[in-house]
Amino acid sequence: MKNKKSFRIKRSAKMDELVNESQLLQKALQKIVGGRPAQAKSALYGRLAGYMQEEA
Amino acid sequence: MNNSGSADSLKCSAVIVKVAGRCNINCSYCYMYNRGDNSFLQQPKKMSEATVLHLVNRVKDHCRLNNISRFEFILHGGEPLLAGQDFFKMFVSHAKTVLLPEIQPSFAMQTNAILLNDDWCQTLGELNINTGISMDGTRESHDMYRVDFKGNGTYDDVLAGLKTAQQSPFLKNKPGILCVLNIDSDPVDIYHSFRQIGVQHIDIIIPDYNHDSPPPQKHYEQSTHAYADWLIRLFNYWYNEGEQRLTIRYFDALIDLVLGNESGFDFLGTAKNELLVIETDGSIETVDVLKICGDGFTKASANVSTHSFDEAMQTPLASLYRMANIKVPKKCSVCPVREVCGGGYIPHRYSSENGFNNPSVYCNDLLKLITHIQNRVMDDLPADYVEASGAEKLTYEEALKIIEYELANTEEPDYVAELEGFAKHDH
Repeated sequence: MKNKKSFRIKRSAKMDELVNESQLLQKALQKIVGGRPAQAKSALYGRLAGYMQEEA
Repeated sequence: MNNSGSADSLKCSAVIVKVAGRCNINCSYCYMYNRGDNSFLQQPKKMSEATVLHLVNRVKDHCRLNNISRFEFILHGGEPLLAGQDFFKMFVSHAKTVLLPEIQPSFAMQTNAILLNDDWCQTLGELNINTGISMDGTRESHDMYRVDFKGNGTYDDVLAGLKTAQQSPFLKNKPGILCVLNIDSDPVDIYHSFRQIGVQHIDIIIPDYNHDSPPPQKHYEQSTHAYADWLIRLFNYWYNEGEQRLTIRYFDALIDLVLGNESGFDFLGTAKNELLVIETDGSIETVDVLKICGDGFTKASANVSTHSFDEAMQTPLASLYRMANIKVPKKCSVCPVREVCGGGYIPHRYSSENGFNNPSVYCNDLLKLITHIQNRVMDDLPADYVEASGAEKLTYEEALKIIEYELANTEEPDYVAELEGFAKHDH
């Protein structure tokens, strides 16, 4: 069995444009991320400190 | 290695600083002190001011060489509060004096919270040190592993410290929680326990096992992916809470990766890992969880008093850690979820026999969890968007078949010798 399609969404300018143009899509994405701002998280080292309220 | 500051130079923008080399409690799962590495016995109990000065000057040199304008110090231990408030004030003062205005330093700390009181919170707030607390959920779950030197649970003391921090007017960011997954606990109970005590931000981490020291077999008696089963129960409950969710960083990161964003974590994604650990004596080492691979495993000859960060990042272990999510074993290289799991956390891949040429000891768990999350996310996206994205749902069973097919038709990667170079007979 071969894998033909991608496992992840492929981000591209075209895909971002789709998001910008579609309120339905924006709502779907908001639901998926639980309402948090997309990419709001800092890239802190995962195991350790400072997992704070970055959005505060 | 390239020291010229070019695009492929070894950028390090954060260090874990072992300001204290001992702990005031004795967690049975602790990778620092209770998993076979006794090198801490040769380390000073506390970092000296001279070492701090060497460190911040090495940071300045590295940032200048690599055009880094922000740098994070993650104060760690052992228990970092054992270093004392005067040490913290001295550390931040030296960092700011040496680095500002060219480089903006930031500070974070991971503590067990037992020593946290109003005075400490005022100091941490004034120094703008973000604080994370280690706590494993319910009293029963927490006290199973997080015990003092007499074997007594520490839940009450930790909770008292957490509440002090939550109520402190000096801490503008309230502590987040680092929780080690306890498979003998109920995941939904753990989630509710954090909500009940007013926590908003959690991270769940998988216990540090590898092929030499695997998770107890009893955990897999009912399922070949028992840790995924636990995490999926938590994920489903959490996901259905919508905007009422507490933040669980692990799940947020996995969702972001499925959606095509990148991760800055060393246990997920395919980014390079550019983090160093500074021990209390100034030794520059690679990620501390690798201590579970054997006594003295992370030891190298580099020290802030004699070596630059760029030199320290050239040691074989540091070089491999940097590329850990890219130089993955053959099985991972053909796996459809590889770009999400990144081959799993590198300490979890180790065996004395093969070094790092193994999939994660949690391979089945990661595959099961990640396909579950991907399927759930895909279900909630409009079909035309999914179609345009070039992605499609993939089940755990389908992923296993793809791996089996591809493995039979793929050569070993050309960096296998580097992965196996850390087998015990060579190390």
